[in-house]
Amino acid sequence: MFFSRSQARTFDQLVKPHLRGLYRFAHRLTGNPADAEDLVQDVMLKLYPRTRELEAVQDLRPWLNRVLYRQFVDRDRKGKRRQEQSVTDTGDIENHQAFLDRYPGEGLGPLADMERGRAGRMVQEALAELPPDQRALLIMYDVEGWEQQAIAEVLEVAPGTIKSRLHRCRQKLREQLARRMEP
Amino acid sequence: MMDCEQLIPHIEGYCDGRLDEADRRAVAAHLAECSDCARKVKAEQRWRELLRESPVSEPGSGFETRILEAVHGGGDARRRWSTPVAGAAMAACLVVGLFLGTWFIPRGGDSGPETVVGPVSENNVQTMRLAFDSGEALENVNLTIELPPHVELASFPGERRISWEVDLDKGENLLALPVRTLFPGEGELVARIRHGDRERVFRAPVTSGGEGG
Repeated sequence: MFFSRSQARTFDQLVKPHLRGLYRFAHRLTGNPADAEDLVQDVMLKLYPRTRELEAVQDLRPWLNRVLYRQFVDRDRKGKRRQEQSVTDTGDIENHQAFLDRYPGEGLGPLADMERGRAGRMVQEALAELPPDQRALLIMYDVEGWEQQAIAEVLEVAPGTIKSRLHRCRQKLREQLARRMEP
Repeated sequence: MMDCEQLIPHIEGYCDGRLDEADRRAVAAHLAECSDCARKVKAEQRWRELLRESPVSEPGSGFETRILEAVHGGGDARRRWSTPVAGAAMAACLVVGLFLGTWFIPRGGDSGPETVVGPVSENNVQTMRLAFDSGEALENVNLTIELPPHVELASFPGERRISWEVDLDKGENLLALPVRTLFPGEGELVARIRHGDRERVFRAPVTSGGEGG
């Protein structure tokens, strides 16, 4: 959006190396290429007036991922207008043992030897059913393999809480999967 | 030896590979003896594997160019911007000559706003262009844009007043604003430029017609 040619050049130099990585993250979050490109463009439009701030950021990649993640959650919230349990809500972390004891292992059993294509679709559908912040956490940790510290920066939460949050998200996914395998 | 109930809380850690050696051995020993639990662990490993394998495409060719051109106001990357919509008659493109004290030089000798050239108009988002000529390079110039109620900036929905700290090059500086029409109406876009204790205010009409108008 703004402004002088030198600022435009600076902005391009700063963000261009990260655009494809942002797109891939956006694609994982949104589930389709069109929404992914829209999301990246929204983020860039938002950041252009903040070029000077970008220049001061030491490690731009996690910073940009954080902005994209926030934009994704905001868009989703506005689009669906729904109230969901948030992964950033510390909730019932203390009750971790009881949570683990609810592991729906029996329900998941058929997944072990289900035909690959069908099982893959089921997992994607279950992932898509999760609230956006829970989906994002699973994508960052279980799919992209990011370090807990990097994930904590994106989610803006304490690194020490990532494991508990991850347990909750995985549990949600297992429940979604188990539901799909009910006769 | 670990029983089935004791194993359950360890399944996740076992699949993550973060159990200590004693627990890992105990789990492995139980799994070797218990096919039910082995099946649970296999299912856990499988959904993780399938999740990791979920396909993600590379963006189409020209992706970076599309994004950056859209940001700079020279292109419309998104499909929803590329569908013509009848009706919106908002002044699509403005060139405003500005001067501020001795630093800003009016374009073409005219200091007032001048409506020109269009359209960069698509869907209900249009690009308004403001051009600022500066007699010298300036740092830390504050620019504030105030919008009438019937429009918003596409990238700042709901915000009526947006401020930036910017640097100006000597010569022409361009500001491209993707403006979304919310409802038909008339109003004024106000641009305030402040450098140090000097300020200039410029106003430009923003008019949008009704659907089909």
